[in-house]
Amino acid sequence: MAISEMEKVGIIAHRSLREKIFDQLQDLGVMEITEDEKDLFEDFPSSPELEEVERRLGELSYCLNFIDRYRPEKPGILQSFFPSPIHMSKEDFLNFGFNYIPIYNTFLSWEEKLKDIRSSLNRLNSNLEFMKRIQSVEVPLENLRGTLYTRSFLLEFPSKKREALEEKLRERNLAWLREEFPGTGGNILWWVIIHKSEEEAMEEILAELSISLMSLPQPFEGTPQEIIEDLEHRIGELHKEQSEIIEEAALQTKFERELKIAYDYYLSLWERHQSEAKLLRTKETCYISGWTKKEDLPRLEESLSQVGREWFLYHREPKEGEDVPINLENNSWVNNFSVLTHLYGLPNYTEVDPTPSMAVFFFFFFGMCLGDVIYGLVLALFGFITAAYLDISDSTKLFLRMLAWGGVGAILAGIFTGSWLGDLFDYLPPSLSFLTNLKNSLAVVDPLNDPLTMLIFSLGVGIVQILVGIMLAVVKEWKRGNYAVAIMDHLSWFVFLISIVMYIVGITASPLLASVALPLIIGSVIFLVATQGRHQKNIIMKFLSGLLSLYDLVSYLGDTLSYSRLFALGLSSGIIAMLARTLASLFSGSPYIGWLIALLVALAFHLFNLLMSGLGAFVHSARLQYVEFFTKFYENGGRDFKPFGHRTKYIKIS
Amino acid sequence: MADGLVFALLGSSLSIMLAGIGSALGVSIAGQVGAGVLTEDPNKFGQVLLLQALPGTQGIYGLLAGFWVLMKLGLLGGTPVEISVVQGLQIMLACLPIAIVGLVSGIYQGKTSAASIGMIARRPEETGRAIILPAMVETYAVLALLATILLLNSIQV
Repeated sequence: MAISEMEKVGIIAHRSLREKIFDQLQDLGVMEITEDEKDLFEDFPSSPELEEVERRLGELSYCLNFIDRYRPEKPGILQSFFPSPIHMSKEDFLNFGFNYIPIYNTFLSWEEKLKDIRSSLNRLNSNLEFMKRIQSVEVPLENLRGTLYTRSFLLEFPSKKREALEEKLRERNLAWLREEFPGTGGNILWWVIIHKSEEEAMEEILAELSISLMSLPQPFEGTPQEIIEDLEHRIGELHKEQSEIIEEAALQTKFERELKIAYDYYLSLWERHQSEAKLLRTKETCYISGWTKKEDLPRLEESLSQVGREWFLYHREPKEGEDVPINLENNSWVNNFSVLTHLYGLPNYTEVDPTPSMAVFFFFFFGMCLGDVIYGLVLALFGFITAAYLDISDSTKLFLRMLAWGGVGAILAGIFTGSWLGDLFDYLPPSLSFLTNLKNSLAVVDPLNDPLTMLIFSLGVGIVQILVGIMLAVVKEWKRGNYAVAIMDHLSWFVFLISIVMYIVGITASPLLASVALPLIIGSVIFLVATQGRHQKNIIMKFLSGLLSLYDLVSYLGDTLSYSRLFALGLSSGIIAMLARTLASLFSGSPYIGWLIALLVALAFHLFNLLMSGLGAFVHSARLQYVEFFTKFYENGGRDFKPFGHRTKYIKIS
Repeated sequence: MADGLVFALLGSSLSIMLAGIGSALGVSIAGQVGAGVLTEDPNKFGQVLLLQALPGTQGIYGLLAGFWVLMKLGLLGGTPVEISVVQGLQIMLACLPIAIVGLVSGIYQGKTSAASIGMIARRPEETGRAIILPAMVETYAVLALLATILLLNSIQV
């Protein structure tokens, strides 16, 4: 149970069988191939085939990205969360041939064209902006160049500087000619022609008044008005060309399926080359090493025997300190919750799988946090139905089923606390009063009027989980043969904590229990003080660090109090549900459509509450497992078992 | 003597307002980072939204506490209870834990959420862990809510 037993496998074969063996191994998908003598591989050259496949993968993912970017309709929320895989048989997949190169080249050229169009558009638009500034000038711009004896300029300056400029020009007595045009933004435009010899004087005047010459971004021909018309025409053309390419690109989604299959084909090939690079070879033989599940060994040998006879397989149990990959095996109910173990990190090979015990607690905790029959029902139906009927990946299905089971937990907790959409069932019409009676007869606690009971229950559940955690630590150390650690560090605390609980229960309920618990407390305290300092050399230090270890009690207390969130979150979802009913009933008094508004308000509020409380229930239940439970016994640090096979991203091979 | 109502209502509004402000700030801090991530990769909308929603719970807790006060005073249907000034002050004080802790933890949870969004931008496979980190901050809002509920429950009206 729990963590699969692994075997180290080595296959030595004649080199003629290499290709066939790899075909078999990839088809079978039960063996992870590892490099045995890592230091031998340091200067192992990357094979040209591998580089070729990597290049192709890069090109294909470019194509898929391109399609994604110009896809006309974006996928819906559901589709983007749960993309449905492409189904294909193994033969079709392995014999798949698709020449994507023309598509790739087309995409590249389109991308290039679009880039060119964008940069031309930028340039033309900035020219257009400039021309709009001098639109009123009715002189062809090629005349700005001047003639043999004249120079001409275009000036733009605020109209209030006009008199000063005219004044200065008159003072210098220059030979000049000008024409004025209206500008934009309170400026005026001057087209000035002067004699060549007076260019310097003119520049001085302009500098004095801080008026600068307008310089054209590039040479133009024609009047600004004509140029603007031409620019607008060209911009329109480019826009048309651009949208034509984009339209054409949008049509390319028809190749999406083929491209995805091709991608997966090369991905699978990549894995093959990657694994082959881990081979050790001699002139005549090759050596493949790796890991497999013990139960798969016969299948492995059988499939190798189909290849030929020039091979030898040896296997052994993992040695201590070896990096054994981890495969979790649990019954199907527990397996739904394995997502959580994967999130935190897999166990190492020498400890127990925390998933079964965690699954039970998560189921109850999620239920207590959501804590409502109807919410639970909705979540359970949603999870089970989507997992059963939607075409989605297996890991998503597991996650949905985990949520659904959390919903089942919420149904139980809701029945226990009498929360059916909050207190809605207390307000049913008389004809449905049997439902109210059913609810009341099933309810055990009313957390609204009796919060302390529920709070103590939550803390009690927490103490149970902490004690289970410590017990798992005892079991783990015992199995490893660390009897001293198991008894002194873990079992002693187990006895200590449980006797404290007994004593507290005892003083309120039965004096007999308290009188049994008291000597147990004293005994375990003495034991802890005596043993916890055993690593110190000095006798006084032994005593002091033993005494100090009792301080851990504070952290156990803190852990226990942390479970109060179960009560608080459960209550919060119930109260928000009540709030929904109260708000809705405020609207129900309005004439004619009051009931409709009330119904919509209630629905919206309940949906919101279900989402937020569901999120809270998931996050906080997971946190309690990770922070309060796992820290008691769990070491993790395991590595996922990844057997060599057809690894695919888009395709599901059937 | 119904003079205490003013203080009780002040407490109710304080918890709704301050915790709501905390959540608004927190959600906004996370949202700003989220928008940046989404410009790079619009496909992460789901995860980003999830992380952005996390600091939103303080506002709900505040609303819940405020609602509880109104229920206790019988202001939502039923006959309003008359309370003295002392009782009103007691109710107001009972509201303070979720009001103040909601305000502060909402902001800080928003910062942690923002950091987590940055984390999934680079490593989308770590979404699960990224969600747990902001939840550690929320613990204290839950505890404050618990304190408020227990305090309110212990006040006799």
